[in-house]
Amino acid sequence: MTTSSASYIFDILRLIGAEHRPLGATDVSQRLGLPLTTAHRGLSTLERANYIVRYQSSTKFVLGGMSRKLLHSFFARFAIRSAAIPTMHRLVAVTGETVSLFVPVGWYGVRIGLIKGTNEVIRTGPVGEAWALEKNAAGLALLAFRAESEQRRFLDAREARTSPAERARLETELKLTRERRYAVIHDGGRNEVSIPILARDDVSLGTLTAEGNVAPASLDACLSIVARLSELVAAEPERYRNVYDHLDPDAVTLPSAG
Amino acid sequence: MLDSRQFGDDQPGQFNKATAQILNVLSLYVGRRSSYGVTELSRELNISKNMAYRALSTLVKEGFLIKDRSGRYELGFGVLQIQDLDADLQFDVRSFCAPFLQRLHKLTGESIFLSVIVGLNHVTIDSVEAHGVRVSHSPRGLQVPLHASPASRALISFLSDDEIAAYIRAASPLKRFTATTITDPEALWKEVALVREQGFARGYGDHYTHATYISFPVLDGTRRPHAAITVGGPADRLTELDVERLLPGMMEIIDEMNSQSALYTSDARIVAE
Repeated sequence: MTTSSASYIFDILRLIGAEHRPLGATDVSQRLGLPLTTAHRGLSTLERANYIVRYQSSTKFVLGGMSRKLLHSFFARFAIRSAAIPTMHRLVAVTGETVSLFVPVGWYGVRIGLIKGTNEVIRTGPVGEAWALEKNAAGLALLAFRAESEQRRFLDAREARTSPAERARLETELKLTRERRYAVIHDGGRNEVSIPILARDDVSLGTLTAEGNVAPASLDACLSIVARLSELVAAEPERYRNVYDHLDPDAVTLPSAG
Repeated sequence: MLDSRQFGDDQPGQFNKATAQILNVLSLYVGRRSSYGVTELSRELNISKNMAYRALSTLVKEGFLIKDRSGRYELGFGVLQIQDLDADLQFDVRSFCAPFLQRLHKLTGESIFLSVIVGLNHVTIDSVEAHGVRVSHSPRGLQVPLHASPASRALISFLSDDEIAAYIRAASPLKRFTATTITDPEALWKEVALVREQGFARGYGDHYTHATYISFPVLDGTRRPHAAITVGGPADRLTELDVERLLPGMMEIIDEMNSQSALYTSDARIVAE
């Protein structure tokens, strides 16, 4: 049982997870450059362990119950998720938009909860997706309410990849976010509004994002709803601590992140 | 058997035993402990420490596990790479509970019912019926108030005190179905405390008579109810003594189920309007 002998199994699992369509042994063999017999063996091993299942009794496979349960086990590690669900329902009721819970993992925001909106048209990504912190409203809300030293560290590393002008733009955006107590990104006639869930030291443990078109008139109500959740989590810091906050953010790499 | 099945490309579905063991290790992280050490893992799976260490190391290398503050192994971010578009918070309690209903039926030989909260009542949404003389399922859609029957009490007891008080206000005076129906709010609060303490609700012939019932809650991570599962049989076959004898086996199944249902958040709520 060596690492190399098992790696192909996880490559197959990742491929099926990334494709979002049923794949058979021939697809797997071609995409991963594996012998067909190896692809068969890998699929059979994953099927026996219920990580994948046959799609409509065919010879093609999709993710199975164990993969789904594993993902939920990961989400369940964040105690804030259970605490946030009633608040998310209330935000959906106020805005009509889909509301997601993002938590910080390294320099990313990961969507670990989602309540679909009541509006006819909704737009959102799947739970489990990760975004680099500067890429969406959730990331801005998480970054703006992070310890100053960490913010500087993030901006320094990013400046090396972009430019001082880009850094200045992001610094202004973060300052505005802190003043407003929420982040907003406009995209044509739609917007994304993200309100951080704050611990006692004004550091965000997560953020609730409404995606769609949040009416300015409903913002005060949303801020007050999330403020009550912040009070709840701030009262029990150890319970709602991020279980991954001992990791060096630079050491966390999420290849699937947007 | 799956490994004797033929694939479309005419290849037998063989499997890799060593890799299957690594998947077994990863599967342990579903709904049980959040972290394992090498010794603990070798005991749990009855494998050598060397094998446990190598499996853990492989899973670390693949990103599915990382070391926590104390050097134990916990779930890592590789899990996010098997993201599932359908894996949102929608939880299908009926399909989730179906295998556990079957296991309870196999253990007891009696009828098993799955019920959820709807408004101020419980409604039975699934069942596995025993053969011959048996307790039959409630007609689909029949609403039973949350103070009557063990299924109702297994559900209401795991709501918050505020919600229970709201129910009592909205449903008072509590309707009597039989001579033993709990209609006194104070007695209902005592029953709630008992159910919370023991983790199940017994039937007192308080809604239907002539049968013995015991109900277990299906709980989320914060111990709110998704549903209740009831085991029921004719009183002359399923006696209280039988229930006591079967209880450890039933609890084992229920505990395993609740370790998995804890991963999903309950949206159960009473609607008092």
